[in-house]
Parts: sequence; structure tokens; C-alpha cells
Amino acid sequence: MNPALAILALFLAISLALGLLARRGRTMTLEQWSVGGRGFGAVFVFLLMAGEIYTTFTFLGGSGWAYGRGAPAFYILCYGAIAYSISYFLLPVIWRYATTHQLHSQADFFVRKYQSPALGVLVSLVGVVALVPYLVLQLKGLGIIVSETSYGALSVPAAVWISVTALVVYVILSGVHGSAWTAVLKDIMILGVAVALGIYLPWRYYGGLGPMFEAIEKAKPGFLTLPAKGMSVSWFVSTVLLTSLGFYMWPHAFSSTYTAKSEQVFRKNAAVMPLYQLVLLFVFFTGFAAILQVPGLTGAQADLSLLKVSKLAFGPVMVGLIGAAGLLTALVPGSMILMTASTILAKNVYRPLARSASEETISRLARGLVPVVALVAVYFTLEGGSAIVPLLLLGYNFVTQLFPSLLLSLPEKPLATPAGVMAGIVTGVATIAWTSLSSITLAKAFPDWPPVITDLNVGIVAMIANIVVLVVVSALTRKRARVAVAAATMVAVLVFVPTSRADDSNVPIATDPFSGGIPTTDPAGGTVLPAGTNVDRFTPVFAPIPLKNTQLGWGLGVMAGAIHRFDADTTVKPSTGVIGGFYTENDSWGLLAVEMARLAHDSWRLRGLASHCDINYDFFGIGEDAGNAGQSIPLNQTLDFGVAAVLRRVSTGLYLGGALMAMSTKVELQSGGAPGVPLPPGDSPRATLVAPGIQGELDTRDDDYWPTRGSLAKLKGWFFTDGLGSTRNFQRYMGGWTWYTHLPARQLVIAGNANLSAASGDVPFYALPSVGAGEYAFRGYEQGRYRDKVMVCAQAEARWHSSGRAGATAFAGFAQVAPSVGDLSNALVLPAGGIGVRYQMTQQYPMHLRLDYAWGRNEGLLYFAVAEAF
Amino acid sequence: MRRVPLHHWLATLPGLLILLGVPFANRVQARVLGMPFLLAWIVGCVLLTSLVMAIVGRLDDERARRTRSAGPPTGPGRAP
Repeated sequence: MNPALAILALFLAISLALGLLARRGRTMTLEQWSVGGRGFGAVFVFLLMAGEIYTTFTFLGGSGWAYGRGAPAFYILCYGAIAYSISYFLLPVIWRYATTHQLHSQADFFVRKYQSPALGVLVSLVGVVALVPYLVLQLKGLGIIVSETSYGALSVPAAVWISVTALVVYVILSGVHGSAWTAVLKDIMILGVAVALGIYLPWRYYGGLGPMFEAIEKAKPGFLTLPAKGMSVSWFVSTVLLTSLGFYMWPHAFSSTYTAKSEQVFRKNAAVMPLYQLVLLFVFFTGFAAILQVPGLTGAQADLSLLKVSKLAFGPVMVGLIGAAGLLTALVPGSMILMTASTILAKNVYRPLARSASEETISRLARGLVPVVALVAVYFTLEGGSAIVPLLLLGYNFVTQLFPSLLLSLPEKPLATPAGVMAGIVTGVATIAWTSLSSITLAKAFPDWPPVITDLNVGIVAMIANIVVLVVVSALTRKRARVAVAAATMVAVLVFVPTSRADDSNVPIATDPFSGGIPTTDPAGGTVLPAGTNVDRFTPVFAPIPLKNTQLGWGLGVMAGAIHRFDADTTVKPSTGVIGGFYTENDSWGLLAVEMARLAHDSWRLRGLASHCDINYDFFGIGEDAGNAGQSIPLNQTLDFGVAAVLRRVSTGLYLGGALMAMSTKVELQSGGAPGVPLPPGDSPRATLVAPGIQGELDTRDDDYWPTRGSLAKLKGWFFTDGLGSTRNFQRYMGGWTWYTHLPARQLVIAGNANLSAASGDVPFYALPSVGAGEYAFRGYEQGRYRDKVMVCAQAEARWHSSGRAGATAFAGFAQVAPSVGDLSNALVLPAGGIGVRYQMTQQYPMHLRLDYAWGRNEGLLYFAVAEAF
Repeated sequence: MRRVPLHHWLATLPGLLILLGVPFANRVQARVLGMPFLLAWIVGCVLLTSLVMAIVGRLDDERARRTRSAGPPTGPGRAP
């Protein structure tokens, strides 16, 4: 046996002895075994937490990444610092709750908070699944250390088996006390060794830090900064963010906070731990020093760099001491991980399934599981080929999925429901598992997207999926999920703003004034309030309205006006009058004024609208083939128009009347555009269009903004005629029927809609029916991409509303365009579906902010608007 | 919701300097103590974390003392 190996064996013996000594004088109840009787002061908790945090990962992985990757390794130094500042606020809250309720494990916390044993089982399983790669990397480190320091006498598998046996023995015998005492020894060793190596090696081989980094920069230009692609700034920031959130989500890190004597401990540690973190700096120096001294280690081999360069620089005795430090950095966290994994398997997975099991049985089972978990880890250690850092990142991605649920559990009453939390965690974990098994990355899935997005840690995607599902399911399973939904809406907006770029070409809200677009005169808004409700006759409304239109892009509208009543009777729906304007990112803008009045107990409906718009959009041509081709030319159109309508009630809910529309418009081609999409001759530049019209509607809805029952049928005809000064003669018809019903609880509304639009005569292209435009706004297709003389559309939507302000929807449908009604049977079916969230803007009236995402044949599109689509 | 004491916002400073600062600090020059600027920036942020958390801790202690001597026996915004 060489001296290095002898030293290693000595340290192994010492750590075993320490573990056994620590056990004396204590009865090993589960409480003692797993949380040390909750009597540890700042120093011990510090050591325990440092013990878990400074592991083989830091020692070999940190130097290995500095050696193999360069600057991206710095992330390891960052996330701890952020996690510590979070810990100052987070850990005392967790500790107080855990102490009050006598909790042992992380899963206990979730079970208690959410009152759900099933959630406990899930959290435990996620924890154990994440701990396995963490344990594997410790064993990998152990194997490397022992076989390297034996100078080839021991193979890696032999080294792994020896170390794992020692590990299992002392975990079974002494539990957490063993870990704490060995941690003392370990911390002295790692500090001494890392600092000594980090100072000595650069000095010895390069004459100092400065010369060393200069030499590296010369040999590998750009190695010391983050690359423009791959592990770029974007990767760095997202990884630091995710790992700092996941830092305390590790089951062992989480439950080691329980061992503290008082919450003061965490406050002190928040200031001290970051300094301790700097040990890593010296580990990096060692890795960097190795680059030019022991070149040629690639892939997972880079993890050997620290030991290789040590062997180059020192004799066997020193190598033995370095190896011993490494051994301890694997043993302490390894024991902690093993113990945590087996405790939670026994207590939080087995017990809920076998309720009659005694404390004694659970305690024995926990210890019995130690070798089982260890064997699983040995299997993966000897089978898998990953380097140390990617293993830890995988584990981190798993545990980080618990963070949203933890955060929402902190208020006295959790903001999410057990079902929501479980669905969210499962979604997040499944996303991680799927991406890592199929090795899909954002860069591979979306090669055209900019690296700023595709370099993001894929855990971000899982996290977003997790949050969205958590919120939607929570909302569906609970009445008051307002806060959670509001938070999710914000997250969703933040996320979709960058991703919605995919559709930045686009058509105007108002190309189709004939059946809607922005300023349709029809949603004569109103909500029936119970008789005698004390409401103001005049409710001012002022709202900045962010909007996202498929053609115009993101924009901001501002609306000021009032919901007002001509009748004192609150059972009659009120009237609405507003003026407003909007501006969007493609430089489109508009102004409008609308009044939708109900007079004499709603026996008369009067509507007026005046507007000026200047919009930029893309014209795709006419007919389904043009739509499929997707080629377009950019147009600019200005419109001045006014509409007035008078409707009279003829029987309950049935209104008939007449209207007049006048508009003056100018269409011009902007520079550029695809060949083969001609602007129809005669449609440009100017036109004056005037038409009388007839309108009829049958309205039995209980509410105009958020109907829960009843239906609305509409028929309209416009007759453009030179008799009134119109430059074109044509006709335009629209018929539509929307129907609403709700489940007994009223929380879930089902809405259905079918509509048909048609035009005949000398129709300018902008007056043709088009998919996505108009008042029953079909979602999933860019507005105006499919247009022709006839359009049919059918859609259904499930709308859920909490008793608070939040809601969510799912919708699907199809549309068709054709040159005539007879051609519809051969026309292409354009299917679409999507999901959305809602937020009620005012307490009194159920008018909502609407965020929808819809998928059609060609693409996915985001919608952001006020009021429902139909 | 309970009002967040002003000095608690201080604790977000090092994190923001890392997350928002790294895109700008991603370079080799100027060297600090021989280290590339990016590494030096990160080390600075870590040191700052320690300092800031010590200050926040101190301010909280002081506030707790003031509240204790001033009145309500339940302590500084904490559960009794």
C-alpha cells in the first residue's frame, strides 16, 4: 500500500470512529437520528449546511469545470450567494413552522401546510429522484479520488465499493450526529487543502494569478469570459436564478434547517456563508492551473484535473492528504443524502401507505433502506458516464420544481390547492425528465430563435410549465385563487412577450369594420344587477389596455368613459360611452368614440361610433390558396368612419332596426412584399363607401360581458350603393348565433358560436369576410390571412370563473373560406384551439382582461385584449 | 400584507448585481488582483452579499430592540 492510500484509509477510520463516538449517550430515536434533537447552534448548523453544500461537486466538479469549460464554472460561485440572501428571509419562516409542528422532513412540511399526505408522497419521490444523481456524483468523486490516490492499485469500481460500505455503516450507526462531527474534520481539511492548492499551484507553475490567467487567455482566447452562444450570459443568468431558488429545496438542505436551536442561527449564517463560499475561488484556481500543466482531459475526464495536477506537483503523502480532503467532501454529504433519502422513503412514502406501522417499524425501515438507496446509486455510478456538474444540474432542475409550491404555502393559508401543487410539480418534473431523456434543448427545438432565448437553462421551461399548470389547476379546484392567478398572468405575459415574436408580421383590427374589428358597435355592454342594488348611475371607467393583435403586434390602448344608466332600475342593463385611442408596435394608431345607449327601460337601443385609424398590416391575397401560401405584401390604410344604429324592442329580447354607415378610406402599398400577391386593381388608393343597413337581434343573455346563460342571435345586412354617394356597389351580410349555458355551480360556462359572413357585388378586398377578424374573432389564424366572399366559422369555449377575479378558458373551433356558398363543401377546414386566462378588471362588472394562446394550422398566436372573443 | 421594511430591499442588491450585472461584466479586462474582470466582479458580489446580510441583520436586531422597549410584547413583526 502506498503512503497516499494509507493516509486515505486512516481518514476513513477516523471518520468512522467520530461517527461512533458521537452516538454515545444518546438514544437513537427518529428525532435524534434525523434532526439531532433540534439542539444545534450556529456552528453546527453552519457546518451541517456547509457539509451538504461543499461536496465533491465543489472539489472535483468545480475544478473540473474551470478546467474544461472556463468562465461558465463561475456560476457555482454565484448561486450560493443569492440563495443565502434568500435564506435570511425564507429559513426562519420554515424553521418556525417546522418547530411548532414537530416536523422531521421536507415532505412533512408540505403535508402539513397543504393538508395532503398524497402531496407528501409526491414531494418525497421528487426529492429522492433528485438525490440519486447527487449521491451518484459523490460516489463518482469517491471512486476518482480513491483510485487516483492509489496510483492505479485500486480500480474505480473497487474504490466505489469500499467507500460505499464505509458510508453505509456509519450512517446506520449514528445518523446525523455522525455527519456533524465528520463535518468538523472535513471543513478543516477542505479549507486547508483548497486554499493551499489554489495559492500554491498558480504560483509554482506560473509565478502568480495574473501570469496564469494571461497564459490561459493566450492559449485559449475567450476561455475566461462567457461565450456568445451555448453557455452564454443567458444560460449563466438563468442557471444562477434556477439553482439559487433550488438551493434549499434539496430535501437534506431543507430538513437540516430543522436542526437549528433558534432562528437567529440563520440570520448569522446568511452573513457568514457567502465568505465560506469563497473557498470555491481557490478550487477554480486549481482547475485553471491544471489547464496548461495536465492538458488533454476531455469530457467527464476533466473531473480528474485537480488530482492529476496535484500528483504532478506533490509527493504521495501530500496527495494522500488532498485525497483525504476529497474523501471527506464526499462522505459527509453522501451520508447526509443517504440518510435523508431513506428517512423520507420510510416516513413519507411508506407510512402514508401503511398507516398502522409503529414508530419503531418506521425507524427500523429508515435504517434498512440506507443500503438499498446506496446500491441504487452504486449502480448508476458504475453504469453512467456523465461528468459531475451536469449531474448536479439535473438534480437541481428536479428539486427546483418544488419552489413555487413552497413559496405559495408560506402565507398562513396556502395560495394554491394540493391538486394544483401536485399537478404543477408533476408537470415540471415530467418536462425535466423528458428533456433530459430525449436530450432536447431549446436550441435544437427552435434553431431560428436568437441564442438569448435558446441558451436559457431548459429548467426555465419546466418551471414555467409547472407554474402555469399549478395556477390553472389551483384555480379549477378552489374558489379563492385570485393571487395565484394574477401572479401567473404576469409570469405568462413576461414569458410570452419574447416568444410571441414568431408572428410579428400582421392585420388590422379594423380592416373589417363591417362586422366588428375594434370598433364594433355591438357589444352593448351591460350587466344586470339585483333590484335595489345601490349602484351609481354613473361609473367612470379609465383603463390603459395593453393589447396584442395578430397583425398589429403589441400595443397600448387608453380608454376613458363611463358605464352609465338612463334608468334608475338596476335590473336593466346599463349603457356605455367611451373615447379612446391606441398605438401599436408596428406604428399603427387610432382614435375612437362610442356610445351604446339603452333608453326607456331598454326598449330602445341607440348606438353610435366615430373613428379615425391609420394602420399597417399585411395583405395575403384572396382565397384559401393565397392563405396557405402565406405570402404577403405590407399595406398602409387610413380610415375615417362613422356608424349609427337604432333598434326597437318588438318583443322580449327581440330588437329590429336600421343603421347607416359611411366611411372614407385610402389604401397604399408600402415598399417591399412578396411577388404574386397583387393588390386588387381599383381597391387602391381611395374609396368612399356609404351604406344603409338593417339589423335584428334576439338577446336572452343574462349578462353582456360574461354571459352564463341565454343566447344572442344577430343578422345584419349592409347595402353599399352609389345612390348615396358610395364609389362601390356591393352588399355585405352577417349572421351569427352564440349560445351560453353553465354548470349548476355557475363557475363553469360553456359557450358556443356559429357564424356566417358573405359579400356580393363589387367588393373591395378589405370588406371581404376574413378569418380572425370581426366580432366573433376566431383565434388561431392571423387576421385577414384567409379571406374570400364567404366565410363560415363554428367555435366552442369552456369558461371558468373563480369567486374572485380570476378565470381560465379553453376553446376550439374551425373556419372555412370559399368564393361562394356552394364551394364551402370543398373548402379547406381551418381548425384551431387554445387556452386562456382571465382577470376581472372591476369588482362590479365582470369585464375581463383576456390573455389567450391559440394554435391554428400554420402557427400559434397570442392574444391580449379586453372582453371575451364572443 | 405586512409592509416590507425598507432595509430588507437592501438584501436584493447583490443578487441584482449578479443577475443584471454579469451581461456587462462579461470581459477579461480590467484585471483585478490578476483575475479576469468577470471573476473579480462575481467575487465582489459574493463579498458584498456577506456585508449586506450582516448590515441587514444588524438593522433587524436594532429594530427588534427598539420595538421591544417601545411597547407591544409580541416582538418585531414576528409570531409570538
